[in-house]
Amino acid sequence: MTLQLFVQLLINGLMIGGIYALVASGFTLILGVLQVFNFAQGHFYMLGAFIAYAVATVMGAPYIVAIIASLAGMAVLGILTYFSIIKWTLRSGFFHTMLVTVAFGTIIGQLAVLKFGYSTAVVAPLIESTLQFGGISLNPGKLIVMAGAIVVMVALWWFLKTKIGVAMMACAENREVACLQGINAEKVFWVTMAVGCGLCGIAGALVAPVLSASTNMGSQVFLKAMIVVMVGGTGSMSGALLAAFVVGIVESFAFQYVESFAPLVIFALVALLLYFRPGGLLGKPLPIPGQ
Amino acid sequence: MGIGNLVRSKRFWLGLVLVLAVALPFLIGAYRLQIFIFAITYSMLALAFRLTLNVGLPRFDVAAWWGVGAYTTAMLMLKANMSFWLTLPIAVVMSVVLGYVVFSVSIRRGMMVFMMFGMVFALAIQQVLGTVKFFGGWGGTPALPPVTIGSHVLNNKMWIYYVGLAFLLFNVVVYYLLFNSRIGRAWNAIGSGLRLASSLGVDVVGYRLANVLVSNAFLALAGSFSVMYQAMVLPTTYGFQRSIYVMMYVVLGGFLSPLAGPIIGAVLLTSLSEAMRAVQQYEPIVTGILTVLIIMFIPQGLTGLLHGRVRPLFLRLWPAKAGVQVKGPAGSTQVSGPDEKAGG
Amino acid sequence: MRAKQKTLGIVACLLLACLVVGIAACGGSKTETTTAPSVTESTTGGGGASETTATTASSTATSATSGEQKELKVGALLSLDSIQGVEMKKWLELFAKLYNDAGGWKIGDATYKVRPMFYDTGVWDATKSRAAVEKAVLQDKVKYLVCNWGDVPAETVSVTEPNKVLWLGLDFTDDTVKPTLQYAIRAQGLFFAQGLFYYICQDYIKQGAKSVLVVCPDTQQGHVGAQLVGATATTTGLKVLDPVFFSADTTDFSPIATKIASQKPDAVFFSYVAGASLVNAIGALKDAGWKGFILPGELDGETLKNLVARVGKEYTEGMETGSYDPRNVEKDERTVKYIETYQQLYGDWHSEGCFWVGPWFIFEDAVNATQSTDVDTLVAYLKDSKHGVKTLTGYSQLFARPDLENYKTVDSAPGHYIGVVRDGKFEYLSTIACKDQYLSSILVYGLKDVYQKYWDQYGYPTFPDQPARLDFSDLK
Repeated sequence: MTLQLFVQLLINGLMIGGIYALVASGFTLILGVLQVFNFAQGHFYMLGAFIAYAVATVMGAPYIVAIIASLAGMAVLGILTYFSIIKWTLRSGFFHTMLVTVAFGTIIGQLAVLKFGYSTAVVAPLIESTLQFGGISLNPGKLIVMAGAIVVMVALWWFLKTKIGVAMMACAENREVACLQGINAEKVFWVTMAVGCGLCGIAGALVAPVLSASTNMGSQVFLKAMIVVMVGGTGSMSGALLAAFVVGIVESFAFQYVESFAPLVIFALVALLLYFRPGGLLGKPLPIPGQ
Repeated sequence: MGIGNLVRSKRFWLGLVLVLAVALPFLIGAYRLQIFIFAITYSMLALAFRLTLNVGLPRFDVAAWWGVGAYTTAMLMLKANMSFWLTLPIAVVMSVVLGYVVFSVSIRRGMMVFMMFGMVFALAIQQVLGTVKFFGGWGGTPALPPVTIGSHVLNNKMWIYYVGLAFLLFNVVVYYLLFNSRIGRAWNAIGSGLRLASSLGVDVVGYRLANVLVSNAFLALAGSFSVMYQAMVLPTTYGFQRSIYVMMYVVLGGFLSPLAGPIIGAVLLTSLSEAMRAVQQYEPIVTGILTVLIIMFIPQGLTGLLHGRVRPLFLRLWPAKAGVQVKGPAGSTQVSGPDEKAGG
Repeated sequence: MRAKQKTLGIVACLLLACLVVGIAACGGSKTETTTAPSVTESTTGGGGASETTATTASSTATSATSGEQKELKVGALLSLDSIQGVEMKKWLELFAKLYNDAGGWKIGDATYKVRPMFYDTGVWDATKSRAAVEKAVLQDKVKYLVCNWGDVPAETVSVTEPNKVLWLGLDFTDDTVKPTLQYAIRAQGLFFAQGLFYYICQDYIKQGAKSVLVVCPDTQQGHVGAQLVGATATTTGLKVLDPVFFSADTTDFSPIATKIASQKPDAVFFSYVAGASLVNAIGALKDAGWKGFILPGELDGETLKNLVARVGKEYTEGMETGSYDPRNVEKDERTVKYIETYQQLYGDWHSEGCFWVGPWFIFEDAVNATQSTDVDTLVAYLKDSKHGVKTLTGYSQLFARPDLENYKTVDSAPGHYIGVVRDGKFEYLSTIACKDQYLSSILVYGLKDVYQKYWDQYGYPTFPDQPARLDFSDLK
């Protein structure tokens, strides 16, 4: 294993780990605050990438505009989804709401396939040349994704310290008491949906120049986000962050050595983890419904 | 007995359904019968999914365990030249033992972990079935030898349908017996209130595990049966998409009856899928929209709707004769109550 | 309060619906099936209606007297989820239209209206495959299944054989050329198809390549492809490194590219990789810092455009791969007419279907030669094939498979071209001869002795008149 190879594997892992962190955080937020198991999370990620493609490639706008467009677009979609569908199913219970997101995700997914199915929505890379750093060549595109993910995570951390952010965390901890304290649960809900889906949108937009936008990119990432949530401890935001990078790196190195069996390696590791450390890596989960 | 009392009698409806089911091959053509063969398999899948819901465990690995059963039967028939009927108990044992190994880890961590772990496991299973050459790879196995009873070869669709019907009936009967037994009551308790049940001393993990393993056993049977018709196995058949469809069958059918609901949902959606064959690309969208609408406006599903709205209409139209003893439905509207096969 | 919430909910629903409709409407769907005036009916428009027309139509056919127009129902199991399936459907409808516009297909004493019937199968879905073929054979009583994509041939053939339905199709395995099958002919074979890789390996060796790494999806086709490409490369003298397989639904190719680059091959061959995956994979390869000879799997206009956008023209210069585009290559009247008609009917040109509709021409040739619609007659003719048939992409010819103890001509060597990327455009480079497909494959599989015995007994096959790089003497 040369240094070049090691660095490349590490960067691959960190890059995809950043993406997992964003998607998993959004998922955990929605799960914790609304107590909704959002199956459409992967599809929002995919749509974010396509919006970035539409804005950057088709309309020719600078890429930062594309990222903002994805964030806004997915946030709006999240809010609309909440008001039109999720809100009315919340009273039916956890399982029903989860199933509604499954169905909704299926609809979005199939619509995307019907519309974009055969073509690749290629977003031109942001920086053409490769960086050289002490004899090792680095791909700037991937570094940008990593940096972008970290910036967003920091922004999220800051956001959770604002008034509305604290309200969100309060609702996640104990909805009834939070309402008793005067928090407007409804507002918290749609803000959470906006944030959760917006995170996916940014993730998709960040990754589009490196991975391009394709209609099946969501399902893989969603599954990994699930793994990240399990490994990090359901409900734990910081756990999800740590777990995301761990999973990303393990995945990256596993592929180099065992190729197609990489998913099995991950599965075995998750199984072992659950057996020995059920609370996840950091072991401090938020209370989650229906245990 | 007047019509009013007949209509109220569960036995009447049950009998009617059974007669229709048996007469089916003579009522519809050979081609259409295959829809019902698929519907039987999917009904068994839906029943298995509904079973674990009873104890508050939604599972997303239904298709994967279906695949385990199918592949066990297929491999044994192919490599060990075993008779189809002999592979059945082995497939069940395989599914239960493997299930025990997998689930004993995840069940005690709660519903959320169980669910997600199941999904990941399903992916891993599909990967193994496709990657490991022994199973035939992603292209699937070559054609399997036909199933025989003694010297009679079962390649007639009608006979396959009847065998399937037998499987389904067996499934329903076993579930019914379980629901009405002590185990069923424990499951009920766990499903209604986990903490309460636990505080009352019910072994939550133990009963949940038993529940999931029973579900596994019947998924394996469904797998074996589907191999009888399909005559080959392919890893992609047992993917996540099918698990999602199974959930939709259950939702459409409704939660009122854990036996009738899944079957009705499976039959209806399979028929819908077939009717939409011409516009197959739109089928997931239509099914998805249907599911969303049902969850939003008719969360109790079709059986709930029938019971809640249609049944009172019937009762008003044909009032019961006074003084005649009629065995009516259990009357319980509890989501996980042990109900009979057909709604009244 | 409740009323206000309800209004909010309804407004949100409407907005969502508008958004969805808006997105769906703008840009237009890429899955538009034919916009051609449909002279022929297909079963893709309303299940119920087409079933009744099917039964009335077939009763017309059976009660018609000779001279009156009968109907020739030709079935195709196609997955409309894939571009190849959609394109093949367009071509088959085009062929039918040309016959019908000219008054019908004169076969024997009667003239037939050609009616292609399509059955959507999903991609590699055994259940849907089974359902589709049963509908075709049992309900619609179709007697010929010509051209397929996405179905599971083993399932299909299990239904066509007992029902004596002629199957002229595509199979990635050898399931359909077993000597026990009576009515199945692999009219689009991939056994005698090593010519492409043979030619390209030789071209790259001339330019200095010494080692090659094959990259394939982790599917059945992928594994078969990797093995065959590897065998061909070895035969031409290249050193073959361990192949790299990736999960079929991979979108992040960074780990794969890193792995490939770490092996330092001179050439990287992609087999059964197309579309988005191909663009991503090659993009990732460039990002990983590798440069060399690339065989980019299947390349069409759209994919090349995306590829150039992703990696730039310089990186794509000199890539050689199979081309299925007959424009400016085939100068014969009939093919030119087909190309013109396609553009008239459908506007934009797509070449994804041109190659895979080969079986249609083999069917057409058999029907014209025997002047019969009888399945047994057609099978007898096809299984004793002695000449090549002109398809859209060159010549295709059926050969025997003595290595499977099948001494009837049941497996085709399909002709097509090699294209090269110059200045961001895909240009025609050379035509792969039928003879080269046949001989190079025998060479690669190491079956010289088996085939020599066969030729000694049955005689050497003759080939269409095309320049070829190999001859029988190369096999000694």
